[in-house]
Amino acid sequence: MEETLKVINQMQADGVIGKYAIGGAIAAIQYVEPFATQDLDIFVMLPSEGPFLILDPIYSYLTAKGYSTIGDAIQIGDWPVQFLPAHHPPLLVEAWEEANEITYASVPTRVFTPEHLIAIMVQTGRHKDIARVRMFFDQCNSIDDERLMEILQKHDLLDKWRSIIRQ
Amino acid sequence: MTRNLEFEEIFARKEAQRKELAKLPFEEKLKIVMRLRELGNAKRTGKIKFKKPLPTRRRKSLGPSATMVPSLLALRISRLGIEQQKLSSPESGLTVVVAPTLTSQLSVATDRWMNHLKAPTSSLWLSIRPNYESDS
Repeated sequence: MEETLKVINQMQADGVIGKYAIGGAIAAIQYVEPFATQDLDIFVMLPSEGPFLILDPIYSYLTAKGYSTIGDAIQIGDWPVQFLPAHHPPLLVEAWEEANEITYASVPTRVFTPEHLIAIMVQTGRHKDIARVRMFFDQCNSIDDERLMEILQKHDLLDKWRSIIRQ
Repeated sequence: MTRNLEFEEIFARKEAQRKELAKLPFEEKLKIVMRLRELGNAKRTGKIKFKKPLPTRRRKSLGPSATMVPSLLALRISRLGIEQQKLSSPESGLTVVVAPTLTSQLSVATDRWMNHLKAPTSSLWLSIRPNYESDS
């Protein structure tokens, strides 16, 4: 992961991507017990041409450096990395903007906050997301309940939230 | 009653272990994730595969309803294509959903898989082998 993050940071330094944040399962694992996942989700703001978001600069940069694509990911070091747009929905934009700054093996990076991860899981609402919401409440001591409620309210997720906690 | 108490105790112990895992440094957690991924890839490439459900004789020892549990797990795993790494992760314990009456038995059944996450050592993976077999 260290090598992977260094490459991504270099992409940022070289202007290929802007500010980025780790989301998805790897971000969740920062706060709860480890579980199986295949790739690293990196959320970025991408340049657009009309209605299309352009991933080409990312792929060109990385393939020129010898990294290969695997399906919809690019293998960087030990990890297949998926670059995902953080443009929509607004909850995702906010999660990207307010991500926590951390260091991983002395490499700086940004990871979605637990409150935003929970809100995204509530919004997505798959069985595995609901299971992970419970995992967060069982295992993560750093959830700011007040902030979580603010986020859920702001993004109109309180009803979904209530239905999940009633289950 | 005694058996139910045993289930409760086992479940509580496993929950505590999972909480301990959650406290590991991020780097240590990702080492476990990497190992789970390797195991999943080995499964996909056919280097290891699922063994048949546990023999009836062994299942009976878990209790009256417990004979159903490995079948349900196997069925769900087969139907959803859950991979080996998922099965050995705590996540599988949470994604496998059956009737509430089977909860205590399920916790024991899934407990077997959760067990393997106690420590990221080579012996950790060896302990999975009774449930899986190698092609080699």
